[in-house]
Amino acid sequence: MILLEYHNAVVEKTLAPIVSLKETVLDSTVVDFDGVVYHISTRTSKDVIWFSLSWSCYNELTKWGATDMLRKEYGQYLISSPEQGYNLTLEFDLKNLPSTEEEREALVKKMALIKRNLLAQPFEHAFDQQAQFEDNDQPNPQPDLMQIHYRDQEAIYIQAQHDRVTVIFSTLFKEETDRIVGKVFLQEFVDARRLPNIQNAPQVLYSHKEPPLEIRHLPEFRHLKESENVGFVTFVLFPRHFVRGDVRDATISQIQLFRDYLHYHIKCSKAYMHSRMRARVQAFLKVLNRAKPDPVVVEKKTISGRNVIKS
Amino acid sequence: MRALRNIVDIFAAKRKSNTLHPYLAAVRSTLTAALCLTNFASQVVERHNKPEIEARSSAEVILNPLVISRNENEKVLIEPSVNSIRFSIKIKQADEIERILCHKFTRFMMLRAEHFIILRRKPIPGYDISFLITNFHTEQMHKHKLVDFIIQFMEEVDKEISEMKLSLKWRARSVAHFYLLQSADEDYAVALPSEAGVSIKSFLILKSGPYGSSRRIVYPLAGSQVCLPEGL
Amino acid sequence: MSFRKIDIDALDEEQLSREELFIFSNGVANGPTLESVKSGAIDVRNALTRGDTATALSIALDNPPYGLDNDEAKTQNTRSVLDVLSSVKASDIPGHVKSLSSDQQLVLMKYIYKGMAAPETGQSAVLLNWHEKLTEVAGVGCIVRVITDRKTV
Repeated sequence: MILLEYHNAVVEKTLAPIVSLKETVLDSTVVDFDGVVYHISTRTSKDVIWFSLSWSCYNELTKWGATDMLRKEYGQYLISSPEQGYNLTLEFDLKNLPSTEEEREALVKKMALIKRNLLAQPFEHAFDQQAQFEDNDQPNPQPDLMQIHYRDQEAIYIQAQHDRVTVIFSTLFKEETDRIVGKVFLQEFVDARRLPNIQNAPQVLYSHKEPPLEIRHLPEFRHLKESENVGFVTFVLFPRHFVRGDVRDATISQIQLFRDYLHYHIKCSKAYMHSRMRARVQAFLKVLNRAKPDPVVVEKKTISGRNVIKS
Repeated sequence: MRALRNIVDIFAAKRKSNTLHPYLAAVRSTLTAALCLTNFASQVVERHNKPEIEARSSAEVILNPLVISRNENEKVLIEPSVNSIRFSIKIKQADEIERILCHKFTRFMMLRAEHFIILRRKPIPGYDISFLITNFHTEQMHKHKLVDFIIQFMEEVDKEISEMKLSLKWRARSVAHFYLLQSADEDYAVALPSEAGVSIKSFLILKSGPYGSSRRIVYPLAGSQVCLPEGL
Repeated sequence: MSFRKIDIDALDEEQLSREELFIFSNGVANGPTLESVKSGAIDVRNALTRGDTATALSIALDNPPYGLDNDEAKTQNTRSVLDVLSSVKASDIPGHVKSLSSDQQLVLMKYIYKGMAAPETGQSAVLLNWHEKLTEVAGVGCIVRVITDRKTV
């Protein structure tokens, strides 16, 4: 369980009727990382499933090609006016689905990956822009600095440069312990590249409270308070990290989950320390209780010499 | 093997710098001397019997406080009085991580002060944890074993904090390596025998990913799973 | 009127003051003065330069300044005692300790604790060593006397 999975297992399970084609009544709200909320329901009849998604940064994502991706990948199910309070809605009519079970399984899998696919668009855009720099036939583009405020107070910044793509995460540590533990973790990310076998991995840079040069000019950092526990993690991706195909997909999936991965392991470490402290305190308590003298047992005899047995 | 050698070095270094023994010996003898307590009712308020070291109602029952120090960051303060003593420890904190671990650990204990009957709920300023031992405690419990408890606590709290720090670092390292070396391939783990009295079992992981392959030692921690392939 | 802030216990007739406690424990208000301590310090330094640590120790421990308003003399003498302690070789400590009278052992114990109360001087390791040896010879009783004696150095 060291690594996190990219797809949402709950979505996959809830959408099981799509695979089995069994009519059911559904109405569940499912959450994902980064404040994503799905609403899976059957509205009008038992054989029509609605799948809605809401995400605070949806409008930012549509700027960088999310709409095109949706039209391409999920187009036939997309309905034009989304459900009230959600950003997009897909409709699945059980009577009108692919005929083989494998195809339907693939469709459910694709639904479980919808968040990943949405967030992948800015990355694809940056990789494409970087490719234009490499290509001598095309004019050099003006690279966009894409800001995706995917959580409250936390954001991803992506920008292509002439030989690389930089991805910057701003992450907020809610308490002092998280900040210190997080620092230990991030330091290891930075140091890991010194090992010979990881030298090809993307470079990781970490700064605390000090925004990196690429984003320093943004108005939101002008008033960065001293008290705020903000950290900035920069990934430097070189073209070898986003070769079209599996490597590119793996890189995108992985980097999206970075923040969740980091915080998940910070929580795990804290839980581990807690269980450890519990065990240690228990041991201390035993030592202290050893200081209490054993109760004195006096053997009582009756006048005839028999032992008194307390009932 | 580098990681393993580091641990062995750390433990060897600990054994070498042994001012710990005289420090604990001094604490033990001073504590034994200070724990001469008697039942003593308050002179000021009728029918009250309070630890004088906390109440401080009259000067003549408070005795001279003593400090035993190993260095600036490790010391104990013993404040004796006629019917109670207050014993405060300043625990070594070399860096930010140790500071937070120490704070968490002492807080964890003090929240359970009810069970640790001699523990004070709040440390006195400048120290990390305080004990308040009254004549009632010494009447109910063996005095020498109380002293043993405090000495053992002092020994183990340092050990615990440095072990927690090490395990945190190992975890961080494993986490970083796994993330940067993610792969679809199976990982192979080989259990290594534990060495040098380090109780943590280590594993050798052979792994290959899109950015390279590795052979390294991993220390499994709670919450992580290491699967051993069959036949090993 | 902030009469609530008045410490009424301090106005209690039966409340003992520091001065009274000091006199009860046979303290003489005018103990050794700064001048006598200073001349003693010179003797100590001379003995140390001769390499005679035993004499230096006993001069430093004899007639220590105590009292309530004698801080300067106390600091001065603490410094000479600590000088002596740190110039004795670790292997010689048991011999030195054994040659002291029980009064001198008590005074030495007081100075050891006084030195340890200021760990920033970096002499704790030496003092812990002395403490261990002195406790072996003088016993826990010596520490009890340090705790209870009002004549602090």
